[in-house]
Amino acid sequence: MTDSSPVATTDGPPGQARAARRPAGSASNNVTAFVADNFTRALPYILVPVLYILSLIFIPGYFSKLSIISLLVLASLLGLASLGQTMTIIAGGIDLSIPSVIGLSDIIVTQLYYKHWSLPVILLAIAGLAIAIGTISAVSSVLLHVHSLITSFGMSLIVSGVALEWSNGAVNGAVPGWLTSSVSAIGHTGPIPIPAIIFVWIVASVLAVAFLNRTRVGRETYALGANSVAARLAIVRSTWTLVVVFSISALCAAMVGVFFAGYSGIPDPTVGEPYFFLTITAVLIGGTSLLGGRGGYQRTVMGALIVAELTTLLVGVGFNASFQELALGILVIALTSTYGRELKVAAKI
Amino acid sequence: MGGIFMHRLHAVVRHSSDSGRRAGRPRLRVAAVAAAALALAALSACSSAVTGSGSSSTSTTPAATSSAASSAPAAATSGSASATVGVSVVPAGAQADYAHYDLYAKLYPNAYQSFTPPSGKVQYCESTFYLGNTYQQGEVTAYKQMVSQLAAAGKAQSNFIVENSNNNTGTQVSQFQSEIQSGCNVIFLDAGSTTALCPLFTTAIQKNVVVVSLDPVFCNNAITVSFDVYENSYQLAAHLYQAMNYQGNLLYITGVPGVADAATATAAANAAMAGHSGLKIVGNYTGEWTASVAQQATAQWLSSHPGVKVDGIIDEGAMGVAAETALQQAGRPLAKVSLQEGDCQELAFQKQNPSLVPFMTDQAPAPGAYATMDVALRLLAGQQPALDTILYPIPGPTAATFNQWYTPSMTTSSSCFASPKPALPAIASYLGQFFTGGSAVTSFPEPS
Repeated sequence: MTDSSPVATTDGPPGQARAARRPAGSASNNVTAFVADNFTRALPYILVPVLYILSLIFIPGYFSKLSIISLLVLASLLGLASLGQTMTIIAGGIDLSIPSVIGLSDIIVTQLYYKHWSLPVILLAIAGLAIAIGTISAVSSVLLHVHSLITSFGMSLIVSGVALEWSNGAVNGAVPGWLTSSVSAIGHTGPIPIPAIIFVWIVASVLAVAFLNRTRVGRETYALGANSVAARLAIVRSTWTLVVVFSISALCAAMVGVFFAGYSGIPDPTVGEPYFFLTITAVLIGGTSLLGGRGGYQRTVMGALIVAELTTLLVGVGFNASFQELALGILVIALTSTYGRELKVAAKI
Repeated sequence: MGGIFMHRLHAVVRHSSDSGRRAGRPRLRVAAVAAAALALAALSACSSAVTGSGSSSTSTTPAATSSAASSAPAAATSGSASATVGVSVVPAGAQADYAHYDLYAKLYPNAYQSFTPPSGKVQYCESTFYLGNTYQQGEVTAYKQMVSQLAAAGKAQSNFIVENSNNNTGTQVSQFQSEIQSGCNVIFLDAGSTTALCPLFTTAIQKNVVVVSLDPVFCNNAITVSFDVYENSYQLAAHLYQAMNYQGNLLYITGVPGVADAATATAAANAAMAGHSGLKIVGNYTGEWTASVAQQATAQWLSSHPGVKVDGIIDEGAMGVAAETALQQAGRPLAKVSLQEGDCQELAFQKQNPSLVPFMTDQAPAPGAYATMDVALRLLAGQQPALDTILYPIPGPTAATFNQWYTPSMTTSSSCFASPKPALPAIASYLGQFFTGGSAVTSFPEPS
């Protein structure tokens, strides 16, 4: 998989636009810069198979269907939750409401299904709510001239409050069996013995990459994140773009909430809490810049896989949770510093 | 993947400032606000403009983690601390329940000798550290139900005042002070710190306000009504090991690492394992007292240990059924587990798999609220406690009483709590032995 983000077209594909900007230098310097540049871009794609091979070496019996599917289910949940986060970050924002939307969605689907609501109606209601949440975060950010960090944080509190009030301390829940099967390692998608969430993630990934690279709003997302002032002067539809990406983010979070309802079967408003920072971790490890305007969802897919693989590997070799966090923290710092260096080198040469 | 970065960070902030065992489970599952505030702090310098809660939450950590005896001296010197007393002052019929009290609480003498019960209708209030999550809501609901019954009998103001500091100790200090000043006669306390409110306990007792804490506090002038986390954890583990015939592989799912309750529970489970070499802990990871985290962590462990059989699960609270679900979803046989939440899904799991659950206890919010209300009513009736630290045996269903707790509407997807009514008579009877003098309490309200 190659990095085909619009950065490559606006900022130049590796070795082309940059090379054009570079003053004439020694051939060895150019080769070194080219290798460093491309290695940095390829790093997340290299890490995924490397970590898997390490898991095969260190974990006896890891090369089994159930182990691989379990890994992919966990990565799918994270990957889907990180999809919208990737877009908001590329647009120069951040969405802090993802965990609370996951929790609210989990509560709604479990509780309403328990009350015998029709599942399509429930899903439509959740989708409508998610779009409203995303829209409010985006529009309030534009109208109030504050960073989406603030507005999405406020929205997170509001949604959390609603979820808690909805659960009200004592709720029953139920989910359809196929939803549980869709996130179970032993689940099936029709006759195929693979849980549906993996297929959903694959389809969503393709759509997300196409959206970012092939649509006007996708390109405007990059432009807005690269330089919001210039983007507005270039008649980029900033408000509309933000509404779209934040709505997509909320929709993805809501979808993860629905899957979580199937995963645990329990109405739990706090179920999304781990994704508060995990989504940002997956985006950063993948190589999308927190400053906006660079990266792509294909990178976040790698980031989600790396997080899932690394954690599974560390669990498999017996490291405890504290060490897992330590390792992930080191990885985040190491990779993001490498990505940062990529920019610096590019600017210098 | 459970417990990465901010989730753990905010959980530690909440849990490390938690002195109590019930708070160590469901109440502490939620802190979106703390998480968000901390993330903001990490991500942006403007965090303080958004919320000021982060620093004050963390400030309580050292004291709050001091439920172990090692930190007792420091805690006891703060605020209105007074000398502790020995177990000899505990009524003879309750001393067995204080067998390991020093691993969980400190015993303080009765500070209510000069207390004068207020005349007229009593104003009941609550000061809680925690965000209004499921557990907290259950607790408030129980108090409101009991206050309504007292109000209907003409013995209480009809409004029950609740202040929630949203995981902020500084705010809780301010709110607690406000409740003392605003005419509360009884304050039920869910403290975020074992010591931060100590000076205000002195103020409260001077103003003739009864403070009943649901968790241990490390100073006098408030009365603690709680159960012993160490003893509960020991019994849960011992019954599990016995059911496994002291043979087999165990998964050990802990609460939040570094938090007093988790350390206490771990010490108890390890103590119960001593001398049983046939038991082997094959997996040890945190579920952070959160079902979804535990389920993902278990799924991850199972995928990375494809050939390892699991015979039993040590659950430090709220995670056992989630771990069983992970086993089921991985196509593995279910394992034996002791459960302690007293919630509907655990009871439903026990109903479906009676041979897998050797022992259950119930640390649901309503029985705890009931116990504290019972003590408050006795103080208001002029009765005097033998000491200010009252530990009661944790209730729970047995094979004989299971159907008193379980109802057919409960499923493994239920997040409700069972009715507390089966637990109440034993609690009331037990607490009675701690009190002397005064007049009899004529009506005990009951949560439903």
